[in-house]
Amino acid sequence: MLKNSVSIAIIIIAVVIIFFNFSDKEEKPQIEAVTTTEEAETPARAQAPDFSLETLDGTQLALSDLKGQKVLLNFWATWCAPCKAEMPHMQSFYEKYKDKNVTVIAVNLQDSRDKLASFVEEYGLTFPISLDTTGEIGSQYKVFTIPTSYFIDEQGGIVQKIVGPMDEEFMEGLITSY
Amino acid sequence: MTYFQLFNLTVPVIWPAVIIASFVATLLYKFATAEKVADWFWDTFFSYIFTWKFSYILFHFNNVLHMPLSAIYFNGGLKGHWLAVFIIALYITLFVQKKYPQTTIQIGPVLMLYIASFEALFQLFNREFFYALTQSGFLIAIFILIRKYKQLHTKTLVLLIAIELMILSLQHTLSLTKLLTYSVFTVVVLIATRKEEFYVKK
Repeated sequence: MLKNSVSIAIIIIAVVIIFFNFSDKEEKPQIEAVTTTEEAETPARAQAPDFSLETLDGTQLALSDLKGQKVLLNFWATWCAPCKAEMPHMQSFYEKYKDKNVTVIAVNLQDSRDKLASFVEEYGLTFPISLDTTGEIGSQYKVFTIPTSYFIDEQGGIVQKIVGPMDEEFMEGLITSY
Repeated sequence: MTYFQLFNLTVPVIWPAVIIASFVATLLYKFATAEKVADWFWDTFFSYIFTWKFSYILFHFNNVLHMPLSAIYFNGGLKGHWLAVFIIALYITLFVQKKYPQTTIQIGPVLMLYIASFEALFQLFNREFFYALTQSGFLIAIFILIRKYKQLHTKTLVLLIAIELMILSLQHTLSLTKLLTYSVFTVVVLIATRKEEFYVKK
């Protein structure tokens, strides 16, 4: 009798699990609508300080120009081993998401142009690399150790600061979470 | 997912939740049964961590060749998780019972204590206090059950896993990875337990 009750309970719970996960999909538009209203009411995220820096290819790039896109802002240097390790992942991430309203900006801290150019060639990097020759932007962003990365939303708000190297899966998980 | 700062590294809260839950589960089992969890648990735990961490080498071989230190910085991610689950499933079903016969009795209760502790801690670290409280209540119920009966019948184990999955569904925190992982763990425990029951009958 008890064994039968346990079996029945298992079946009922399984039905409840299936029902709840199935009904989630049905209700999704409603949930999204509620979230949008809530987002409008909640205070905005802390704004990422704007900056304008020269890139390796000689153009000027300002963070404010990228409003409307999600931005992965990475602070790095060629002498930093974990920064080097994450570069292939960042390149791969950039290639996958550049057409999905996501931009990567790698702010290089005080490397020489020659060194940087050969590094970029060796690693086959195609995302914009901004040159923080004085380290001023790094200080503004409170970059004490590198690599340090910021995930920034479409309105320029800081979603998450990550200290330490990230692999592609980690970057994808974060960028798709907001 | 929430992150916290550990020295010069940002760490996802799932990592401390996994580690602390292992200690909580083994301690609670000891309090409930007055018996120490045999080394099968830590063998399994470290096999999982080792495989998950260093499977990065397997999945990103060229990166590691170019930059060997990357094997230290990164882990196998989701693919590494499934490889690690496969390795420990093999270990438990094929090897562990020969070495540690008490696994048959311990594995069910320890699995349930581990899952409930992990979920309570994970919700707590994500600052979902109501969910953490619900999971803690479920953990206490499992503890009381184990304290009374010392082991879990296979049907009871399936019922408890089903309740855990139902709680996660109601909290809207049941991911596909979690659902499949807990299901695989349950099947592995059922296989391990059934094998021993067969030997006992013989």
